[in-house]
Amino acid sequence: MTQHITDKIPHFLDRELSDEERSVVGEHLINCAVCRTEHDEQKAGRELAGSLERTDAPPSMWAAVESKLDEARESGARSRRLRLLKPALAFGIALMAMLVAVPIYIYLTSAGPETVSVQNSGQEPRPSSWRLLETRGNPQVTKLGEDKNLEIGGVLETDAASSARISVAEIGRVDIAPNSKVRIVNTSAEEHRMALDRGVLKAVIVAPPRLFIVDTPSAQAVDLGCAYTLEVDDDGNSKLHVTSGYVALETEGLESFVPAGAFCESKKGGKLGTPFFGDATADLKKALAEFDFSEGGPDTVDTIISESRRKDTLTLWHLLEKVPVQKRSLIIARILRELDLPEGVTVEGLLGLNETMMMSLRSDLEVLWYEQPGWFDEN
Amino acid sequence: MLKAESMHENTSESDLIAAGREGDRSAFEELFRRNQRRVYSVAFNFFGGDRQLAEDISQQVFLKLYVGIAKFRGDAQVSTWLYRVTVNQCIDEQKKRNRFSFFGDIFEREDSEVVEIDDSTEERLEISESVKKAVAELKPIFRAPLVLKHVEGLSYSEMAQVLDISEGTVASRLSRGHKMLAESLRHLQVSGNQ
Repeated sequence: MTQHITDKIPHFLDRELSDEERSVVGEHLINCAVCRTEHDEQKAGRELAGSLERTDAPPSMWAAVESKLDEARESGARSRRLRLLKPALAFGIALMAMLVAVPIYIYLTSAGPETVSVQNSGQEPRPSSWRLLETRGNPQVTKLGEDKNLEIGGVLETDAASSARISVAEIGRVDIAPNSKVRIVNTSAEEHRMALDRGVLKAVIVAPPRLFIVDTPSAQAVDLGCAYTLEVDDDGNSKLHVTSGYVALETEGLESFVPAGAFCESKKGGKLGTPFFGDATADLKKALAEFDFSEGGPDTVDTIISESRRKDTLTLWHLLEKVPVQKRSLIIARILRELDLPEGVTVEGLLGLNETMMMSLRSDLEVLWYEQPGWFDEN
Repeated sequence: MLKAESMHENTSESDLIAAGREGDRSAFEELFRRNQRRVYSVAFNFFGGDRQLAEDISQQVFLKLYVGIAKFRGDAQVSTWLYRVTVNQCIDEQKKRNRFSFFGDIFEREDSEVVEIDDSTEERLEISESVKKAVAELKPIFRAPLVLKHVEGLSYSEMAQVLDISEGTVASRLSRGHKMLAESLRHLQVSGNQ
């Protein structure tokens, strides 16, 4: 029986293994459900932690440090005098602490039960499937039942001065921005579905994949465990921006897999765009828009390939099934500059768009899509 | 306002330390300038985005650097030493806060007033705020490697050096921290809807 490799999973996720070790672990993960579950759990936490970021110190901090340095120098000069006063000072501080702390403690302990009973008296009702949690301004709502529960078929419409927040069962919440219109389409153990007819919504969902779905006039956004913003313009075109996890943007028969940091558009009439990272070059984005929506020719594909960075393999992977075979080989060559083909994946298979090989390649590429810029820089 | 940038911009770290030992304030200022973001970021993320606390801790850390620079042996980079002192300072602060946890409500209210949501980056901040809070609730031994990795991008060997533990322990704490974070955020999401 093969031994589990759970101790290798953090190294695998953090790319701290040699190529040889990586492929051993990768192969094991494909075949071992236990290690795969462990991998997925760690990966979820790692993705969440990815939203932590460096923060600049306030400009005033040096002045504060400098002042502390001056104080330290002065206190050094005073230390001899202070040492003589220390016992008296300590006694005074202890006495003051008692005088302050005892009444506060008595107040808090006596007020405790009363506080608890006040909180309990306003006990919230159990969460409903689509409960209106908060509103700003006066959004128009139809089919609002008891406990502020939006029923199926209910419509919530905000104007320029209103917005709303809705809970989605126990799996997350959706914020509806001003000038937006949403409808509740369905709710069941298998799916919670709403429609965004126009405007902007922001969803934060923690749930198994495909449990939360948003229909738009041009596509449907299928949650794969994530947070995202979805925008629908007056013509029914959609724009998705994923901020955490993954979302699948789908039209009939087509699917774009959109990870955190990436965008994807769809046009009314069923045209589904190719996902791209928000920090891709302007030339790449322009060429991609031409390719997706203006029937751009082969030159646009060449531009996309030449402008692509390591993580733009997201865009390249999706383009594989949209371009003629000649361009497909150029894209594969570009991807091969970033990683070796996974075990069992061949160039021929990719040229033929073998589904298993495509998914295996995507699985390996995902690691590149989550690398953070500057992580390994010295400064 | 920082003034040292032009004066010591190209001075090596070891020369800055040597000058700092001699009491050269501008050399120390340059060391501060090069490292302030690291120290502040670690403290900021260790305590769920509490700016005031991050600033207080940063000031203490640089004060320790100033006082201890004479004894700095130079066998590691200043940044490594600062990371270690910052994490220790954060853990000490956490212990203090635990000791006075019966004032928890008061502190929480003060902290929440510090958070300001800018409409233009609201969506990013929402996720980030939830994660920050969840990270701040992890035990410090799991929180420290998580912050050093995800905020500062330290490698396993660098984290091992900073935290004075083996690389295997770093990996183990990271994996447990990641799992607890996922679980903790799931819990926050559920309770947020009740």
